[in-house]
Amino acid sequence: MMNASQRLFLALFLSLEIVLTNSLSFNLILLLCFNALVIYRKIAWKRYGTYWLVAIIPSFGSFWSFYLYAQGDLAMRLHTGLVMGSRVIVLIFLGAWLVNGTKEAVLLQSLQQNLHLSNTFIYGMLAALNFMPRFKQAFQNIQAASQMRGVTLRWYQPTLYFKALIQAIQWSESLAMAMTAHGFQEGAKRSAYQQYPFKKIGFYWIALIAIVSVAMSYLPY
Amino acid sequence: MPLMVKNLSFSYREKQLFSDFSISLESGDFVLLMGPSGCGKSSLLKTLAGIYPQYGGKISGSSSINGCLLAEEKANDRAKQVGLLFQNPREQFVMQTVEEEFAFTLENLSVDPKQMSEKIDEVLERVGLSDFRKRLLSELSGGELQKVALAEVLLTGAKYLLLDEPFAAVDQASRADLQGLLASLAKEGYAILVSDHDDHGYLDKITAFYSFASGHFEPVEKEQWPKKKERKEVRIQKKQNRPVLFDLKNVAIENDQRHLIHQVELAITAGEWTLVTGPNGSGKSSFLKVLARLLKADGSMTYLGHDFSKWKKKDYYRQVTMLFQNSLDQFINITVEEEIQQVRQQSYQKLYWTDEKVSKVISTLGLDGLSNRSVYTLSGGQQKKLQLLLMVVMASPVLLLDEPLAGLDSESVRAVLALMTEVKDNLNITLLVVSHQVDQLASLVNRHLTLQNGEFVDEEVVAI
Repeated sequence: MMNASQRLFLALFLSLEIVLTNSLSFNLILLLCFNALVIYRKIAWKRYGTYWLVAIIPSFGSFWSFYLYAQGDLAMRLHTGLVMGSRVIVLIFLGAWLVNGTKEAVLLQSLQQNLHLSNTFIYGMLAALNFMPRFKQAFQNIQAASQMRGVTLRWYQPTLYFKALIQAIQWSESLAMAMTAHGFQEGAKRSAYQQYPFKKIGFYWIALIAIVSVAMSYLPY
Repeated sequence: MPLMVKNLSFSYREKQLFSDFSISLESGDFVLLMGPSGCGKSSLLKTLAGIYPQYGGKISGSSSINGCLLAEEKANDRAKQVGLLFQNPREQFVMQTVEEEFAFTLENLSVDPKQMSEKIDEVLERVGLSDFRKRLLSELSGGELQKVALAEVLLTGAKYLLLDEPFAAVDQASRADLQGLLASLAKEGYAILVSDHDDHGYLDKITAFYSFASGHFEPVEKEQWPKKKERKEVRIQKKQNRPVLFDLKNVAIENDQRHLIHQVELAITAGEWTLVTGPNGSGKSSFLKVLARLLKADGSMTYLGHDFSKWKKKDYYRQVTMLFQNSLDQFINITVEEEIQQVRQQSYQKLYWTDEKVSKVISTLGLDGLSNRSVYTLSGGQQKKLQLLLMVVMASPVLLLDEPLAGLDSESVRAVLALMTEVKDNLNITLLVVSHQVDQLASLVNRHLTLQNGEFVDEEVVAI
């Protein structure tokens, strides 16, 4: 229905609307919708549970501070607390909908094709994302290498990060050389193996959702 | 139109690496370049590919094709003419999968998207990796990565192929396959310049041979080329009745959801020097990682009679250490001096490693004069030798070595093996070595395990 860039636009629009709207019903309807969409993606239950776990503390904290210290009587403070608390959960599930339906590489390449972002920026981001598993492995190796040499490096010790940083600088230089050797030239014209064009129907959906959501923001309570 | 190189000199951080290199590389040429570790082979190839001086160093002289200076061409135009295969296979890919990586290169060269798929299949078939299109690069072995890198270079359509020690982590069979492929590419009209430490398999295929001496790469007359070695089998000198260190039963090792090894029973005994061989991607490195507790596996695995996954890591790593395939993973300080001092302080054999002995080994390995250098600016060979020095000075009872000879010239290999023999005999260290370079190892090891169809088999001989 929507390409990756259009999904991002919709997510950004709804995020903005969520933070500007003072309606609990609006938040709850969106939460139900995005929860259903995330479950529809058939993600692992562990991951789904993690979203709730991540959401629960900031959501409760937000609710509690507004409930206790916001202006107005008890009913108003309760309403404000619930709006603020539910807002955190909706935003997390909106983000979950976006990332579970779109591969990072596809989103970046789609943005490059649709918004003509710099290739250097896009491939820099892609390379950084691809480095993540290597970072994880590197941390494990650095810790093991240190222990094999009689030094225990804990996760909170700067030496571990310093070493990882040096490796990252080293990688980035090697990677830049490899990109150059494989013909990457900043600003040069490139073709595209996969095309991610805007879809007309995607804009209709964005317009429809925008109209409905704006209308919903006037719901009582 | 040849690739003309005239009086090319290169210096890095005020140090001249090579000077006055000239060559006319023409269609059909297959040139082998040999020289000791750190002499500048990688820098020469990077300079020819236009990577230097863009990424550092100073050059004088020129390299050009049809009168166009390569250093002045745009990267996407240059890549269509000159392809470079890097020494470290893990540091030459941008994307996650083989297909995405190849598409990236084709996109850089503005190839028509309709032709891309076909081209990708074509080059993968050429290097014998037809079913690798969707594979994750992070899960491939060193040898598989080099084949993918070669395929990527072929994909660019470049007719001048520069290969920087392409077979350092490739098994003998794949090495022979790829050398045959390079020879056939040369016959088809490609011009190939390859640097290597080992002349094995090249001598009946190359058209020219360059060697490094006194700061120069000079052509060697055909009569003076190294002689082709005859293949032979070396019988293993086995040791009997040793106490068991590692005892493995029903062990299953997987990587990238691929079943690699299922071993019903395997024991590694104390004081042995075991050589582990097998095809690329068969699981040799994964096996060492399991013993070093860097990779999980199913089954019963004990060290000195106790399940080693239950040992505290700190205690386990006092017993078992590993020489990583990637040297940079081993270093925890910045300079060579800091690294050596650190292991001397922590060594389990402080009395053995006297000042005199350490200095002698540093000198034997050709690492003298480098004490203030950052470990990150050493050449690949120097890093490998330093890495080995550090681990033998630590002198844990068991040392696992993953490709300790990769990227080393023959003199360095001799020095490294002499050092390993010395510490094994004097300190009774158990060595377990994964290596594709077996020529000089064969007469030293006490056991030879080969991985065949996912299972280790004890061999009586090592074929060299």
